[in-house]
Amino acid sequence: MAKKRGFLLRVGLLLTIMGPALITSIVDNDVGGVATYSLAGAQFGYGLLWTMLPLTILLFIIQEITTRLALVTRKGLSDLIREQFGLKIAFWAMLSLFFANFLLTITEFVGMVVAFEIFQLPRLLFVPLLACVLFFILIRGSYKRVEHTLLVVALLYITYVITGFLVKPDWLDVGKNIIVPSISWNPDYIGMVIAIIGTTICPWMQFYQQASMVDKGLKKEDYGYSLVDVGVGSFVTNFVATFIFIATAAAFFFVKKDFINLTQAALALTPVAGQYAPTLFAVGLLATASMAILVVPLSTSYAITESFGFERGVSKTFKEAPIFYGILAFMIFAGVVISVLPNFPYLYFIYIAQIVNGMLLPVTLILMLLLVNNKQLMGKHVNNLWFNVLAWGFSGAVVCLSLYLVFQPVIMRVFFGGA
Amino acid sequence: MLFLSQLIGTAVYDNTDEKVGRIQDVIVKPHADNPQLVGLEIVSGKMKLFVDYKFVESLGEKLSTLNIAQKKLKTFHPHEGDIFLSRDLLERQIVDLAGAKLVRVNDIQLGKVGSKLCLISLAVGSKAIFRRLGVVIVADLFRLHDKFIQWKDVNLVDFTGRSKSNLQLRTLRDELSQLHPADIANIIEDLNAQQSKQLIEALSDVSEELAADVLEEIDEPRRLRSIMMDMPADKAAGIVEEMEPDEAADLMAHLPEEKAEELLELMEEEGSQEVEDLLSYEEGTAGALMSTGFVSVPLDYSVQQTVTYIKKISSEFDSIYYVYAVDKQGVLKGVVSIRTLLIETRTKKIKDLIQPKMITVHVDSGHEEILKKLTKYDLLSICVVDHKKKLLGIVTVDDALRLLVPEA
Repeated sequence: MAKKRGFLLRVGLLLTIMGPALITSIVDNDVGGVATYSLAGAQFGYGLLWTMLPLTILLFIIQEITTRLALVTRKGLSDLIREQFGLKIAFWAMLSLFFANFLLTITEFVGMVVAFEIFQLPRLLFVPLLACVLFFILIRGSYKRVEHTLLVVALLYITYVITGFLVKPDWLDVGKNIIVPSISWNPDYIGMVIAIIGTTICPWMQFYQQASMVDKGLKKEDYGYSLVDVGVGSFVTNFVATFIFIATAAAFFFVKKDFINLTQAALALTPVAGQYAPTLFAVGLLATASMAILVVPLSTSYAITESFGFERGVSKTFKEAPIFYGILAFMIFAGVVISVLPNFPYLYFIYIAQIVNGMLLPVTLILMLLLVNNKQLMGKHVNNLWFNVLAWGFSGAVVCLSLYLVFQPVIMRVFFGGA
Repeated sequence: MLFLSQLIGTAVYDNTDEKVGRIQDVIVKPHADNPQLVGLEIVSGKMKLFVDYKFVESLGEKLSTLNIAQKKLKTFHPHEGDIFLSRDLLERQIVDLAGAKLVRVNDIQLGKVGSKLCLISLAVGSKAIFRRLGVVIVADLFRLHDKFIQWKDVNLVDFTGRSKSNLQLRTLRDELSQLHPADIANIIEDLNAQQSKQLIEALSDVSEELAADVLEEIDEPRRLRSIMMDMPADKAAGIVEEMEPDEAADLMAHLPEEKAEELLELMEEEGSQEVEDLLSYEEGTAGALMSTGFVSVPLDYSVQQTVTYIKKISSEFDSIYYVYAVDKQGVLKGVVSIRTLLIETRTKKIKDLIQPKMITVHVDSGHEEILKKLTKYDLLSICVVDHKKKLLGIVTVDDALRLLVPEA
């Protein structure tokens, strides 16, 4: 067998460890991500660009915490939650994870519906068909084999970056808006902020990233490599997001064009692809949606069954692991059924799903922060003061924003005497 | 019968009806069949105290009582190695030895054995989950059952957060080593990297050969790699030495070069040489697939000599179907079945018994050719030779089956 391993080994090692966080980040820009950033760019122009910088830092901090939890405890997040907080908290955490992830799964299928509409192919045939193919790939355990192919498709995002340059934005204005926040207490604006948070930092990401790091057998010595992984990952996500803002702001906001359905989002790519923009957009949607379907339901099923101690894994038969396959099948096939319903409000649903994910995010974050600050569990690898201040502050801010959004009518009445 | 979950958090009163605190944990003494209750951990505000079980008057779902006044309580120190049920067992993953699988402890059942209160069994079914969530009705609605595992059928695999003094818990139960290596390998594939390393290490303390057998059954290269990388090198080398050379070579091929070299150096000369030879063959060829575990004798050996030789070396092999006859240069001349050796008179020479027409494959030939020949000629194993017909190894039907069903 091959004996020359020195240099290649090191590169290979970097690539294998460069996996979990980067893959998580790329899947992060799924249908919900593209839709939400497009919506934000179309409605508020550069008004929400400022969220990208703090979110990059926070995504980095949260992924770093996840990494530390994985490398030090070498256990999955759901495993740790069950062991450290007991059954009841684990139950509620898993229920909220399931709910958030099921909504996301539906949004991915909604993305497929839109893509097939652009191709003018019957959604009632093609969405279930694609779902079956993906389900088959999942239960055959061949996910790893297609993973890299799909990640290459994610390079389609580069078209957004190119578009961002082609539309010749006022870079000074862009730069100013990235650094200087413009805050409004308009409920639409607050809702959009939560949706952006919810689509950039979702609960599933922490579970998935930690599980795949544990699965890879990474340990403390791999921290350096993993940190590079996390750094590149959190940068890439928000870099792409920034350019989606710029491209859609140019296509809608600055030309005062309404953005009312997801099919229109393709128009943002016209500067690059011309008349082929819809096709390019649809291919991208299919790829990101498929990638997310291969990741989100499976990781949900793993997390839940791990937490409750049911048999799990695609190497098991259906009879051996009925709950594992049950959750997986339910998420995928119920997701398909809901997404192909007639008159389904695609864009609105995606937007709401991101808000719900944002609102449920603190559940996971708070549990993670309690875990990573547990001296018995983490030894000297507990959080330092700055990480705690930022991460707790962020969790608190998301909770406050969510409460504000929910109780906004009440707050208005109490403080301003009328909504 | 009493469940641990019903005790945790309930109040404890002393014999003057003074509240002592709430139960935080229940402590038992390690024992193979029925670990006995030896004490309670009670918290009151920020205070924590241990109470010897002999001062406990009654334990109950609503409240528990002591038979002594709080002031008279003497401090009780749990022994090193005592098991704290909530801290060490509840919510953890354990190996169910009877079912040979990994399960999670949802509750713990306590009960009387003779006059002593003991840990009886661990509840691992879904009904226990609903009972603890306070909606046992859901479990009844779906006709879910309680599933209990007897303490003697439990093997601990999770030692997170436990101090070194608790190492006694680690002692591997005999029952685990009684399982088939393939079953143990399945359990290991369900564990996380650290737990699987610990389990393999514990197995190797019992028997390096068993640990080697289990490693041979693990099909995930990634898992094998992380186990080998995490283990102390001398321990790892000890296990690899016990593996079949072809399996060992496979394993080495998955390790980084430095690690493989380190292990080879720690191994005994003879074994490491064989593994190194095997490693030099290209993947996908007969050479990489073959095992060097075959029996060969010189042509002029008698049946008697051959049988004596087999008896001497048989412990090194998992199975022996054929004996190969080779000349002084190691060139394959023919084959004798064990059956022939049993039937023939002891003085007959091997060269008169051999079947000289041999089906062989060249060391560089691919998987397809091996499979074709094995199938076409209905062989249990096939000889691998070089261009001078020198016998290098054999590929058994088992090895070939792996090619067809890699995930079993």
